[in-house]
Amino acid sequence: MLSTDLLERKLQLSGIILILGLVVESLCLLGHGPIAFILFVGLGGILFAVGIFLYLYSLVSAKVEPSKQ
Amino acid sequence: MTAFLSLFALPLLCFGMGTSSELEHAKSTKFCLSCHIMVPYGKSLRVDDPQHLAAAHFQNHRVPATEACYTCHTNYAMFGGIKAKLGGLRHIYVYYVGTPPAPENIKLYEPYNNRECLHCHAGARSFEEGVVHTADSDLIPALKANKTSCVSSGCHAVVHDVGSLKDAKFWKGGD
Repeated sequence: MLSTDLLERKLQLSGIILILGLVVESLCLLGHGPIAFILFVGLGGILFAVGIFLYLYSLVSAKVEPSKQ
Repeated sequence: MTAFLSLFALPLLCFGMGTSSELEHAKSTKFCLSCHIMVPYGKSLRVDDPQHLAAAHFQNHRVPATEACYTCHTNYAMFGGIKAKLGGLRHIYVYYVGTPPAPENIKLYEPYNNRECLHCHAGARSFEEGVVHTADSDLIPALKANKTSCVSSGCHAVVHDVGSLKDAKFWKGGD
């Protein structure tokens, strides 16, 4: 269940994508042919890149509440 | 901090280590021969004839048997490893998307550079003082300058010769 908070939801989504990437890469490491290599770098790499980008984007796009002084 | 480690540092570390492992695995003879089109080239490594250059190198461990293809077919210049990997990606593209040629019609993209041979043989006594190599005083400088090819006719011309494998005798050892 995804959180209702926007920042948390983005972080959860990023985590899910990264876990998918890890699963793909783990499966590819079991393979021995060129297709496993392509899937590792292509699909696994893209999932990792999207996951990391989403994580970084969620941090920079988070709204900062003004401090109460 | 936990989020940073699990969503940024860990994936990058996993990808880096995995890529390194995959690239290392991609150097193996087994990996190259996993494409059916390369099977005759794998068989040519076991031809029982010392005149067959690739077979003699493979069987006598002049190249590491587990990385035989990569050792000779990578380029020993600065970006040789990267060029070899890019070439490999092109091979995969042609194999799965394009029309691959018959194994006996496969040609190198560019003539074989002596640099790849000299990477190991330069300075070796058998090369520098070999009877045939020293018979003509111009030969060794020409070989070192890549003006005369090591695999030219009359020298080490039989490399893989996959077209004549059906008549060849094969070495059974080395497994």
